[in-house]
Amino acid sequence: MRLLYSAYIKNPKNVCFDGEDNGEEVLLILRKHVITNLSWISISVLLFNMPEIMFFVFKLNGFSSWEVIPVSFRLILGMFWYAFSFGFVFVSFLTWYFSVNIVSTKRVVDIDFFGFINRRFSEALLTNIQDLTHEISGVAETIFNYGTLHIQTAGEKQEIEFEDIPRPSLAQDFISDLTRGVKADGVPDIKETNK
Amino acid sequence: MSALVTLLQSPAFLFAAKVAVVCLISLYGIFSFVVLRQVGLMNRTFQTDFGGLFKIVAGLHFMAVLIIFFLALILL
Repeated sequence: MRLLYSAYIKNPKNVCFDGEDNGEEVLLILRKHVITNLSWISISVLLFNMPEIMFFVFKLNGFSSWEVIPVSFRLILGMFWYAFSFGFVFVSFLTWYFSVNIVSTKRVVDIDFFGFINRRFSEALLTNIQDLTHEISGVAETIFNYGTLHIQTAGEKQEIEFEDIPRPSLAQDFISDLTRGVKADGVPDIKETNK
Repeated sequence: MSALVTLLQSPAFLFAAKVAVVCLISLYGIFSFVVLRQVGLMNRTFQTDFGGLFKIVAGLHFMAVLIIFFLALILL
């Protein structure tokens, strides 16, 4: 259930991603901090209350009720409006839910959905990770402790970014411990990451 | 005010409004179908226990838009 609302999930159960190998295990799932959803939640509240707001505006302009608009139009437009508002909430939530950063026993994966129909899938093997840098800048980031983790890799794609993740320093330490284990012994140091 | 009320209730305006509303709902219907397909793609990219639930909700949303579309054709 935590998977539905949390942005920092250690050792998730029943989760896998496109291209996951046999024996590979997902150790950490990161998403944008929950507070970053505030903008679309505010818009949703406004959308669901728009009929009342419109009624108020109409009343200010001298209309006593909606009755000047035929009842069939009121019914259809009302149903359409609430379907549209629900669609907006659903799409916004799905975009947040499925835009994930995954740390597994073999690699780090960055799945980005933007504009809902566009997808970007980047990955880097733990052995290719060269440098980790996290950045917390801005008032909201400082208050809610979220920021961006930059992962420099030796692969074709030089940098992978985990944007607006909660507790970026903790995530950096997690990946750093894992990478050190892989580079030293060829296997990720899971015990170290569970501390 | 009465001129506006007369305009809102004139047959020509109501016909134009019906065409506009049906077009709007059709476009949204196409979008809701894209959402349904995209949820399938998202579920393949990142598989969790909630994948089925999202698929059902996307399907219900698409069905609701279809019902609104047919109601608009019949009632308006």
